[in-house]
Amino acid sequence: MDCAPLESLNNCPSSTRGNVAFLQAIERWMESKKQSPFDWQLQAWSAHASAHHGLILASTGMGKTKAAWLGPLGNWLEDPLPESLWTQRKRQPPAPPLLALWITPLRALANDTCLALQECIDGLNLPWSLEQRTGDTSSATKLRQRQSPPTAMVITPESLTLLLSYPESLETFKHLRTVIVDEWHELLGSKRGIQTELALARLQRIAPNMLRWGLSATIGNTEHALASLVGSVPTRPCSIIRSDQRRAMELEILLPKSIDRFPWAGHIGLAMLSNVIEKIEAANSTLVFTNTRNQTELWYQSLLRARPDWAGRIAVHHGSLAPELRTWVEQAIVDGKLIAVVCTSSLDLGVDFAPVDQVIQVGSPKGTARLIQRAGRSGHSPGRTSKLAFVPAHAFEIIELQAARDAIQNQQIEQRRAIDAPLDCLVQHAVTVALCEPYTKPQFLDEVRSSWAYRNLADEHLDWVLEFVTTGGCLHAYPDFHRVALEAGTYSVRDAAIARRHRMAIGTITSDMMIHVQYISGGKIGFVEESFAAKLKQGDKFLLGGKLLEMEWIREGTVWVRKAKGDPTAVPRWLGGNMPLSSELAEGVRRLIDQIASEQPVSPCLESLSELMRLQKRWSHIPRLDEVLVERCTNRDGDSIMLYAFEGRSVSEGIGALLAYRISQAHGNTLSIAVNDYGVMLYCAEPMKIELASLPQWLDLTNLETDILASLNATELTRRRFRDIARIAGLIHSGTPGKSKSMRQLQASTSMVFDALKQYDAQNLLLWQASDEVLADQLQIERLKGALRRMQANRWVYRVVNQWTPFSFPLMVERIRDRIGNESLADRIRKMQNQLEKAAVEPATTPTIPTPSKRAAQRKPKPSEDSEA
Amino acid sequence: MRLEHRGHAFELFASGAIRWNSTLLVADLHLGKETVFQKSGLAIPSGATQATLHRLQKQIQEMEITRLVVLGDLLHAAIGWTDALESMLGQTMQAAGGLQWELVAGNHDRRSHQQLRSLGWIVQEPPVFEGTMRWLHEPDSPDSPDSPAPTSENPPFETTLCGHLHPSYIVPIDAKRTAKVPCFWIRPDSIVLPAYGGWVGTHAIQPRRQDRVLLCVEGDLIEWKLH
Repeated sequence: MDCAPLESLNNCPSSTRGNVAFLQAIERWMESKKQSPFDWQLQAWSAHASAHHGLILASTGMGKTKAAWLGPLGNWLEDPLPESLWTQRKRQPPAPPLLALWITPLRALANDTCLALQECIDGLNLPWSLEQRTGDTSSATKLRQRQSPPTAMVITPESLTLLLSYPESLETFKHLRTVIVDEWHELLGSKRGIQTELALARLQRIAPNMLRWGLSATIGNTEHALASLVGSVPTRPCSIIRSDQRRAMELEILLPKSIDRFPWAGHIGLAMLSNVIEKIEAANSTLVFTNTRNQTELWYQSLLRARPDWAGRIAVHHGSLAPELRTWVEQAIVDGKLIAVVCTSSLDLGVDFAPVDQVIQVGSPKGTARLIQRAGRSGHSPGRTSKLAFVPAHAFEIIELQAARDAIQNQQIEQRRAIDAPLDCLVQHAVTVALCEPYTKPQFLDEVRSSWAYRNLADEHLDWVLEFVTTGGCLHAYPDFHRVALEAGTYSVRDAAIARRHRMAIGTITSDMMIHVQYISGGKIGFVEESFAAKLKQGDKFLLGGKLLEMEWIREGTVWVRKAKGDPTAVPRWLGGNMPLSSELAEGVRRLIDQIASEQPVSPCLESLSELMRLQKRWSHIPRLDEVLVERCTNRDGDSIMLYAFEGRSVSEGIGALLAYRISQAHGNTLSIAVNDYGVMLYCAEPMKIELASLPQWLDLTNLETDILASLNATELTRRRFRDIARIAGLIHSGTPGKSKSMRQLQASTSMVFDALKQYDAQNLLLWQASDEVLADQLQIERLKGALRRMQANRWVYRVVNQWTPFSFPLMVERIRDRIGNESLADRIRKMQNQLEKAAVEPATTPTIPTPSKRAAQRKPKPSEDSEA
Repeated sequence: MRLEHRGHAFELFASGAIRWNSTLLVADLHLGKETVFQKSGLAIPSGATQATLHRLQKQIQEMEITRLVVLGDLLHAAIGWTDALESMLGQTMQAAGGLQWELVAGNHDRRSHQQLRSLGWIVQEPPVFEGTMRWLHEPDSPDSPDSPAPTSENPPFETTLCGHLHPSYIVPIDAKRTAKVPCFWIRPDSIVLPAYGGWVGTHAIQPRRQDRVLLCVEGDLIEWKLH
């Protein structure tokens, strides 16, 4: 990998305990609190004192806030600014000008961060003022901060970019000495990360001596994380600081009494409810992590039903709840009022929950980094042990957890890749900078290329971006367009209305199409996705925030509800429900299966799968590491081919789409696909006219991109992807609908914008960006290519089977899931499981082949009555 | 498609136009909408306005009519009125020959009456009464465009033709997908025209049992059977 700034990594200044005045001051203060600094903290402070950029790798609760923050504070002790440069403030003593920025990805973290930072400032007796600036800050405060900024500011990336759009930012940031980015691993790999990189490049131009520091959890590609933090041409040497203490971690698997030989991913481990209740009872406080918001709601309900006496002592927390509710829950955890909170990744980050003793993970975490992060939420202070109990949702997840355990042992943590040079963010930045100060093309190019993401930005792309913001990029198509004015070689924004609208749009990168849910009697509950809200009918009941709600009406962008009794009739869908298995973990799973196949001794938790694996071997085959297993099952229900790549859901989807498309092109069969993290099932009611042995040819890599795009409804995917791009590049007006008349006439959906571009400016690079993003992010084309290459080199093993095998059963369940309602599905699957169990224990008799019942097979999707649409 | 409605004979076109004797009625062209966006700093390419006018011109030339009536929102906004738009609209009018051009003013046209009059348009405030018909832009209530009872000021009328809603109907394509299709919304005593303009967006309607929905699909009108 191409990482320029790394030669200096190993010259980390050695710990210089006590030989510098500021270090003595810090140690005195910490001694007064009966603490002493860790060596790695001293390293961080010394590196900062030697004017290095740096990245601190430590999990939360290890003291990384102090490690980063005492750097700039120590710098002040060494080198204070003369009072003549201090900022005069109303009704308060003067304070030093803005010297330090603390960038936090989460608004919710700002309060706690401020408390922690203020403690250090007070402890060292500095004359610094500290304030926060986020989307929640009042506009009066924001205005005052622009006129007289505090010495240190806790800020979100969006608020920082917004601040940089004002001309006075040149003055505000002039004295800036250090900027610290918290949770850098969270920003990395997202467009907010790109926004941050561009903001850092801008800040560095305003304050050339500024030091960049980042805080990150352990990730697989540290060098990359550092490079994107410090930019393509670091202004100073760089240091990587690792907390040398590894947190002790106890991982326990809660195994059910008997393991289903026919596992399926549909039930969510609720069978383990009583074990979970025991665990919760045994501890003071517990976080129960699930993978989706639906599961969160379901587990909360189930816990309450089993233990009605826990009402008020357990709570639910996920990203779709109203901020007030979330804050309440977070505070209640800190205060020790709750014995358990059921949550999603919404609690992965941030607030220091020192009182939490244990974490229970329901279902596979699908990635090693996530597992570590979650386990780390318990025993959240240096020297304490993290405890995590894992509840497998089905048998195969036991393998996933074992793979994650091995990965932790061997320090193989997933990588987080930064996105490369997205044009939508650059379009936004080109306008933001023009709002701040007029610039020339070479100036802008220099600044932008100094960020890691745009280090290789092609000249023609830069030209297009600047053309796009001045003339629309395609002269005859945009006669009346001028967002940025180009005069005598300098770019600037003249129109006050355009400036206002752009500033309103800056903060919208993260906003999904979410819509509020509110009681008619008053009181906000949270959000649901717009597409879910659109399908709700009056009287529909759904769970949110642990409450059953009945929809009354949708008005003014809000779903109005009242409390309901009974059972839910609709299940909210939130994006991101299906996390694919990370490729690192997928490889671990393949290795473990190889271990089992070669009958090497395995760890005790895998022992529990031995029955299942024996059956798989008897009825079919267990693939070795260099093998690809294909099964075919023809029964009265139809013809099914199963291919096991063990590469994660997104790759399975790609393989399935590719096969179905190519085969149907050649033979005219209509195939349906079902996928999971392990493999893909192709299904056809009639016999498929292909030989099993020809499968490798069908997966040839030539024309891969074209075929993949053609196989999926690529236009639809691209159109959806374009939503964010249009918002970021400022193609739609994102003001509140109906706010004023002049704005109402600027309402257009991103879908309409997409149509207009496709029709009248098809060469627009933002359209290309959308389809690139679909290929790279959504379809993970690189990962798919890698998987296909690996499989082409492997030995293929073909098995014709008479009944569903332990491997194929979960795929079959996936296939029929679409056709059958959830409730009847569970009954039917239980029936099939029983039949297969019978076949498994009576090998002599001819096994009956269970099928997903005639009714299910007949209920094919009805052809649309409308032949044209 | 021919439609008998409250004693009137209409001919409906998939373009969104209605013909009544020698009058052609259309609604919601929103000319100059891209310009409004461009002038506000949003890079929406031009083209839809030109396409809409071409379509209108072609349709007029294909039939014998003497009068074109726009049921409101001919223009998108006053700032969208440019020399280019004026000349495009002028050319269309010229190419169509000696027609009478009438606008029943809509909310978007509010500040453009003068420009249109000087181009030769007859601009009237709604409602306009024509025989036993009432023409207007915005229906009396968006959920039910049914006519109110005639008052002493209003002459009695049998039906209302209007626009404003940009009606569309959500059609299920298969188990998972739906499509929003522009449509005529025929109610017992009113007809809501789909938007004629090419880049205007639509609003999904919820028809009642006694209503009819005619979908405009790729040049054809198809009746969607409700229930």
